[in-house]
Order: sequence, then structure tokens, then C-alpha cells
Amino acid sequence: MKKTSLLLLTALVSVAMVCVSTMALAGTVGNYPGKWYGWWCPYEDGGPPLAGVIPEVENQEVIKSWGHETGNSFEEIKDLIPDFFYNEVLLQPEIWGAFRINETAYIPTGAKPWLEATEKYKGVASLDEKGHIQNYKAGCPFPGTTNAKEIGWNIVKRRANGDNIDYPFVWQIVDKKGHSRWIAALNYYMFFDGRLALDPRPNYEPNPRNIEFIQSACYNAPYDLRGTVALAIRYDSAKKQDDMWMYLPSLRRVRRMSTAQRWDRLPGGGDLFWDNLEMFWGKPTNYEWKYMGRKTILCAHNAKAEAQSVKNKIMGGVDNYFSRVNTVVVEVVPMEHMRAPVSRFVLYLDPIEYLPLWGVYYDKKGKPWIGNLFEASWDANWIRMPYNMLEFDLQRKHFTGTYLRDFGANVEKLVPEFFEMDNLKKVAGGR
Amino acid sequence: MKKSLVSMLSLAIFFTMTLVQDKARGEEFWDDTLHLGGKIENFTGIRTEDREWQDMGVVDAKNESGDLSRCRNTLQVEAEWSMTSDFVLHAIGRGVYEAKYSLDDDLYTSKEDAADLKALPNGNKMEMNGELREFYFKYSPGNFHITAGKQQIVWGESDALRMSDIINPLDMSWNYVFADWEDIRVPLWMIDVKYNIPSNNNLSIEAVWNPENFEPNQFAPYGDNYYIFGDAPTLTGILPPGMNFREIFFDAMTQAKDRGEGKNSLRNGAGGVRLGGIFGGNWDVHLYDYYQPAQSPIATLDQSIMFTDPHMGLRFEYPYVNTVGATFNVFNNMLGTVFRGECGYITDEPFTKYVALPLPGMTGPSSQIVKKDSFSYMLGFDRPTMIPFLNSLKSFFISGQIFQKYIIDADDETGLATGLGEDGDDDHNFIGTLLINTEYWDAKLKPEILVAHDFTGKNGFCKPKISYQPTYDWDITLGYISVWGSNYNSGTFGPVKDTDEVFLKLAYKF
Repeated sequence: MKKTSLLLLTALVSVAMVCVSTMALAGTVGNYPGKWYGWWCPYEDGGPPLAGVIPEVENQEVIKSWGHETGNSFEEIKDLIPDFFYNEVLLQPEIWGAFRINETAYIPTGAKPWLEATEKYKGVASLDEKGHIQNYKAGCPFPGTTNAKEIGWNIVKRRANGDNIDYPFVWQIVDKKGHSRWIAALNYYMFFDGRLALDPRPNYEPNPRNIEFIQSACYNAPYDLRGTVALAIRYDSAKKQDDMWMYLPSLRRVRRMSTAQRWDRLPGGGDLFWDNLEMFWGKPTNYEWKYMGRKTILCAHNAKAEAQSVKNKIMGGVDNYFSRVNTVVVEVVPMEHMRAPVSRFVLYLDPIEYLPLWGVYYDKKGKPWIGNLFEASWDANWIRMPYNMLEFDLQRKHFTGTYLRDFGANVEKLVPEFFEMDNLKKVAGGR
Repeated sequence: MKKSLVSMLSLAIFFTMTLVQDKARGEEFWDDTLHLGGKIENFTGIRTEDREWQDMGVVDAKNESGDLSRCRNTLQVEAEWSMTSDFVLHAIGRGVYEAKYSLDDDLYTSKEDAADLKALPNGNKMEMNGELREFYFKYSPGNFHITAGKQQIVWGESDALRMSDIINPLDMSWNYVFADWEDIRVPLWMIDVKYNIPSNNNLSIEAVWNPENFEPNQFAPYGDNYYIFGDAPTLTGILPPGMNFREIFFDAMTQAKDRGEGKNSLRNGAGGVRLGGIFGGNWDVHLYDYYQPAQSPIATLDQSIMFTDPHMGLRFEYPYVNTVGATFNVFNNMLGTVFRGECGYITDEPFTKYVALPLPGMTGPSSQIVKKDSFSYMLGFDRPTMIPFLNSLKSFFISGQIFQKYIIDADDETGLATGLGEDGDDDHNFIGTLLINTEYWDAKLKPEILVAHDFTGKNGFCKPKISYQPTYDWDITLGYISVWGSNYNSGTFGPVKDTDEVFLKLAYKF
């Protein structure tokens, strides 16, 4: 009887596991027609932006291509590519996989409300004695500045993603052997300043807690994370740290989190730190800023809105549009109290929107450690969307791709009430 | 035979593992409105200590170092059906097969057939059990959030020990309090209504009503790991042949559950309210009150019917208690630390009182339950700390807590079974806990250590473990549980001393 029970259980376990395996394999994954890359996440589709795309951006005329199956060597454009990427990635395709750069003409942003706000509020914002921004309204706060601290604020106040963002994404974490792990989440932002599309604008009033933005990530997968909700509030204050709460299904309760360690790895094993999300997501007052001048390089500034990953290879975003951008270059050094594992980092910024397009982070010994490449597009309303955010550990050959899907901006539902934990739990699903 | 079974199971798991690696993350059906997921787990432990039982008439009634302490196989399936955007149905089913009884012939059990073993009192079967553990819907119209059905509701801020997390009882029969709480809480049929009051302070009011579903805490049966009620050999010795006091004791406890005190009826309802909000810009505070039957049985003995009653006059009850309490958490900018705390005041907490019996050297429960007020509190901190020379990429999560409980005016009585102190009869305790964990190798390797020590009761436990997660699906955890105590009455952990084990947990999540 006992033997029978055990055999029965073994059989049940096996059948259940095989069924699950079969179901999972039925997902829509594979290469795009005629390409060596595609969408390989086994359980989430890589959807287009909700507002649609700009056809002229999606179908640009390629001036010239280099790399994979083009017959043109990257050496021809060596000076137009950051050294760390050329030397550590492009010259090592056996590790990182095939890559192709397709040069197209530079397309400046057509976000009229944002450009008009930049012009309208030019000279209004200023920095106080602590380096914190004052009187920011909307648009780019310090257009054309060469003051490095002001450039730091241009990065974090760029608001090119809209007044709020409905930002589903997939993280693909790939090790040296090309083995991938995937995390799927719904990401939401609501900004309280720089608002151009939704009332109240440009500042959300009332705002008694002096909030700069609220951000939430609701995790769908994998199993251990499903139902997990992270809720963070950034305050418009140089002194006050972010607040953060997490609902953890395994605990079945909300837990207050410390946000003190800004250079702590995010959970899940990726290459991201809290303050280098989107290349820089910290408080500029916690860093020393140095203006390094301008440099024209090839950037995925007006890229396709297409998530690209390669089966069993490390790299993603492997075949996109790159254009020559006269980037603003800044060097950023974390202050001692940040206890960062990086000694400094260099960001290459779009000179109008101040969107980071390339970034490289140096370890404590001064060696290039983590590289960043954003392949940024727009939706049909000229809202910025980095569809492939690529972060690669140059020393360990490890990769984290952040791929957007079904991106939406200026969404009516994203009001403060939406960010109540009970509502977010509902959005996240899970236990 | 054992070897072949184990080999077969191992092969089956290995074979399926190679098929499903990196592939499964649950599945969506019906236009993504139905999500299915779950886990398959084997949890095997091997004793590193002997535990001897004093079962009369049984030679070698002991489990020895090297014996299997568990080989628990679990299949858990979870379903979520979003019928509308505001109405979601949840169900969690769990099937368990404890294979240690089949695999280890040397194991001592108090029943000849392990299939007859049940958690006390009259709880789940220990060898094989299947249940719809949770089944509830969530309905969220406007600022209301309503959850109704068989569910877990968790209040409070504590880890490792429970204080305000009082709504669901615990199933301590298979891993005492060392398992994840969500796996050992006993879900109850309840209605939870929460209303978020539009305000700048995140004010909320929550009401919980359990109309009639009473379940007590569940404990391991005699002879099993984590049995906590001690031995009763002497009384058995004076009983007529064929009578066993242990069986009488457990039967009386089961009768209590099935009698008025424990039976599901409107007389056994429970409920409470909780108010919450953020004050002073940073203090997340909740106040609560909860009224419910006690979750562990309280014993009385009517000596006048001791020799005529089938239960020797022994009776168990679950008297009602009311807990009023508060919880808080706050993040301190300067220290980079979250501080959290809880307190609870229980009115008329019931205790068993032990008195001398009219038998030489014997004590037993008094005829009356003694009720005392008690006050408990917990203060804790969470501090993620970078220690670059040990881990340059990931912080160490360091979390400490102290717990204290005082039973007010306990000095008025002698022989109170408070469960506190070295002999389980003190009026206070003082427990400290420390949790440290971090991640290495891109979060594939996760070491953790949890220590709890009761300074007054001189008991505690230490649970180091290391998890290897090559993918998000697979989790292989190796760990050790060491429990200490002055005797089997000392505090919370003394009753399960001599159960140290090394364990290996293999889980596949889908």
C-alpha cells in the first residue's frame, strides 16, 4: 500500500512537471522573420507602445551598416563608439553575440509641449546652496547649460516620459554561458512636477508631503516574486531620503524598507543598482558632477520600438538604428557616504532631452566595469521609450536587459489613489 | 525496497528537471484572466540528536541520530481568476505526502499504522493530506477592499515570533514554528473589509469577522518530531491494564475541539478592527482590537470524577480572549534604519494551573482556569548594511528584535503553566532574535542565519541555511536547525529540544 502510494505520488509529480513544461514551451517565442534575434521571453510578449509608433522613426533609411553580415568592420567607426563598448563588446562577438549598427539620420524630438515648456520656463529654476533644485516647473530646467550640477538635474527632471508612465517591462538576466532568467513586472510612475498633459499642471497640487514622484513595481513573475509590490516615494528635498514599502506575498504583509543603500544590487541577480536605474536615478546632491565637454558618437537615439533578444547569447538590442549625436558628457563621482562600489561613471547625454544614451561605470580600481546602452524610441505622441535598456558587466560578461512592452504614458488612471498599496496588490495579483 | 523507491523518485525528479529547466513561470488561460502556478517540493531532514520517548511498555521508544526527521513531499497549486478588474477569485490547494514513515522502518511512531497519525487535536493527517488550503475572492469597489473566504490575514511587524499576527492559528505539527508562516498558518473562513479613507495620511479602517470557523493550533502527535506535551508515563503506570493516560489526554483535547468550545458554530465567532495611518510624515501606525477564542487548549481537572470519567475528569477549553494592541514602523534617515514595534494587551488570558493530585508526588490541572491580563511588546530594526570586504555588490540585511511578555499579577498564583521562563511557570520572558542574510553570485546563492534566544527561559534556536537557485524555478536549500532548552518545559523552544536536524529542501516553482 505504501509502495503504491509512493509510486502514485512519483507519477503524479512527474506528470505535473511535464504538463507545466509543455504548457510553458507553448509560449510565443522565436526569432523575427529573417533575423538572428527576436523575442525569447517564454511567458511575456514584447508588445508595441499603446499609443502606437511614429512610422518615420520605425522605418528610417539606413545610411550604412556595420557588423553582423554587413561586410563592414566596426573599426571604420571606432571613433564614434565609446571605447568600452568597442573594445569589450564589439571586438568579442564570440562572448557577447553578433551585433549590427545601422546608421540613420538624427531625428530631434518632436515633443512640442515639452519643447515649449523648456522655452517658457527657461531661467526660472535655480539651485540652492545645497545644490538642490528650486522652482522647477516643466520642460528641461537648465537647457544648454555647461554647469555639471545643473546637467545632473536636467537628467532627473527630463520628464520626457510624460506626466506618468505605465511601464510594463521584462528583465532578462543572462550569465556568461547565455543562460537567461526573466522577471516580469508592471512599473508605474507619477510625477508631481513637470506635468504637461494632465491636470493639475505643471505641479500637482495639493502636495502636502512635498512628493517629487511616486513609483511602484508590481511583479508578475517568477513565482517567488509574483504579487510582490514595491512602492517608493521620492521627496522634493535634499535631506529627506526616499520612503519605501514592499508587500511580500510570502509574508502576506507590507514591510517598510530602508532606502539607505542606494548602491545595493536590486533583487533578482541583475546588474542594476538603485541609483543607476535608467543610468542615473539618484539624487544629484549625493554626487560630484564634472562637465567633460561634447562628443559626437553613434547613439541609439531614434531607435526602433522593438524588443530584441538573442537565444542563448548574452547581448540584446543587437540590430538597431544609431545616429550621430553631439552628446553632452559628464563624469559623476558618488560622495563618500554613498559607499558605492563604483569610483565614478561617465554618461553620454542627448543635448536636448538629457536622456542618457551611453554610460560606463568604473570599479574602485578605475577599470571599466558596467556598461550601459539605451536604445530609445518614442511613441506616436513623442513620449520617450527606451525599448531596450542594456546593462552589461564587462568584467564578468554578465548582462541585464530591460525590455519595455505595452508602454503607456499620460494615463488617466495614474493618480495618487492608484498608488495605495491595496490597489497595487490588486494590480500585481498573487497571494 | 526503500532504496529502489528513493532511486525511482530521484530519477523521476531529475528527468523532469531536465525537461522543464528555465521554462515555467505559471500559465495564463482565458485571455490571461486565469493564472495557474505553484510549486513541487521535497523537504528531507535527518536527525542529529536522539529523542527518547517514555512510552510505557514500548522498548526502544526513541528516534535516533541519523533517522529521518522528515521526507515531506508537497504539491501546491495556486489559481487566480480575474473575473473582472475588481473581482478576483483565489484558490490554493496543497497535497502532502510524508514519506519518512515508509522509508525509515526504524522510526518510532505512537500508532502502528502511520496513516492513523493525526496532528493534535484531530488535525491533518501526518502521512498524507490534501486540502483546499485557501479559497477566497477579492472585491475592490472604489476605496473598499473586501476579501471573503478561507484565507490568511496578517497583522503586525514581527519576524520569527508572532505577536500581533494572531488571527490565524498555526499548524505546528510538522515543522513547529521553523517553517515560513504562510505555510503553517491555518486559513480560516473570514470576511475582511478595508476602507481607505481619502486623506493625506493614508488613513484606513479594517474590520475582520470570522463568523463561526474555529480551528485551534495544531501540534505534532506523540512520538513525532516537535511533539510538545511532554511524557506521561507515571499516570499510565497506575491505570488499569489497557488504559493509557496519553491517549486519554489526547482524546480529551480532541473532544474539546469537537465540543462547544471548538465546534464551528456562531457561538465561536471572532472579529476585530484595525485603524491605520501615517503620522508625523514618517510613522506608519496601526491600532487594533481582536476578540477570539484562545488558540491553544487550557486544561482543567475535576478530581471528583477522576476515577469515573472516561477522561479522568480532564477537560480542555478555548476561552475567549481580547487583544488590544498597536504596531508601528518608521524609517530613520540618519541611521538608514527601519525601526518597528508592536505591543499587545490581552485581557483575561487563560492559563492552566497545576496543583497537587491525591496521588503521591503527582500534579495535575486545577479545576478552574486562571485568567490574568498580560502585556507584550516587540522592538526591532532592519538595517541593510554594505560590508564591502565580505560582499561588495549586495548589502547584508541585518534585522534584530527583542520580545518581552509580562503576565500581570501572576505572583498571586502558584503553578501557572505560562509557558514562560526556564520551567514554563514564570511571569515574564525576554527573547532576542537576529536575522542576517545576503546574496552572492547574481542572487543564485543566498546564505542566511536566524537565531532566537530566550534569555529568561534559557532556550532558543539557530537556523543557518544556504539556498542555491540556479534558475528562478529551482531552489535547493541546505540548512540546519539547532534547538536548545533547559528542559521540555522551558519557554517556547524547550519543548522541542532534542530535535536538531540537518535538512535539504528541493523545490521546483512553476
